[in-house]
Amino acid sequence: MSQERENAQALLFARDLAKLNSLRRAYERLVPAPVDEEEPTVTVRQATALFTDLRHFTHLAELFADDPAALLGVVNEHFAVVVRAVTRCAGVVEKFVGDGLLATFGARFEQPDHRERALAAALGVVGANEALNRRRRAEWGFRLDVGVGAAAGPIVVGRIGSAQRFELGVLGDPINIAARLVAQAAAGEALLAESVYAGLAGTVRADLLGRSAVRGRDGELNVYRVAVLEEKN
Amino acid sequence: MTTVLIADDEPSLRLLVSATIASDEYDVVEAVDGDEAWGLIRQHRPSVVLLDVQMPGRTGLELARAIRGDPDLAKTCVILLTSKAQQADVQAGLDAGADRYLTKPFSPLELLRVVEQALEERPKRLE
Repeated sequence: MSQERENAQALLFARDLAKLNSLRRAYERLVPAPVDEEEPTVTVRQATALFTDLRHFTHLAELFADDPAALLGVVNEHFAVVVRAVTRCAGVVEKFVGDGLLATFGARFEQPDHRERALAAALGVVGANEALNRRRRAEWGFRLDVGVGAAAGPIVVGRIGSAQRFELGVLGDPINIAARLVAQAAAGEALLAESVYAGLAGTVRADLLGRSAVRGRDGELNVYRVAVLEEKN
Repeated sequence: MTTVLIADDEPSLRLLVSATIASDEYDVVEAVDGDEAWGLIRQHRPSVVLLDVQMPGRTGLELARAIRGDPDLAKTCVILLTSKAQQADVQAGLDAGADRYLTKPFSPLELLRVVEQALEERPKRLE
């Protein structure tokens, strides 16, 4: 091979490599965590699932009925602070679900303090969202209110889907419970299943809401409410 | 970018402060004890420092005195983090040059309010 041809080949190779790296970077923003394994293993870990959800989103969407692109901008500003709060606590953002998201702590890698991290993230999400409201309220003329739900227990990470189309996703009872709790959480509230709170007693001020039935489950569980935006007297 | 330093040996408290405050406007630097905090304070010259009164290495009170004794750190707001059992330290902390204090456990709303107030009052203190 002539030197000229070798140089052209090297240039092509370098371009392909740069393109592959660029694709990988883009891909890594779209999935929860870098995936290096060709055939991901099924892993079950003790972990905490956390859901966030905007309150009164239907009303907000109505405000932006004629300008859904602006609505997307507002929601993404909210997600920017929520994702930052979650990742600061070493949580993994699993997926965006409409105007909320699902994050896990300890599901994709060992995290013995997954409850503490999830609690800090829950409080941080509400606090950071409040800081966003303070920065933007004059321009927006409305506020964004967020609720949080969290539950702990065994969560499985594995390939979900078919051979043709799948994702490396998470499943488990804590995820369902957290999803139900976030639906019940009022603005500025974090609702914690006992599975989370039991490991945190004394580190956070929480009210026991009592034993609560979670829709779709037979058993009842104790639910604790943390009113994040209330100041103590 | 406003830099906020949190120095506390409780990881969950550092996480809470970081998760609440870190933004495009606020950079949060974390220290696990008083000695690391002093090095990071000298390095970053943060606008606000949140100091646990009782932590390994230099205590919050010692750091408050050191900050007030250093002309390079004259613009730094000092907020002490205390527990209910440490209320006696609050006056000592204010005497040592702290601007404000927060009693643990505190809510994110209290944290935001105190940090914002400290930053607003900073120009007055420098007059």
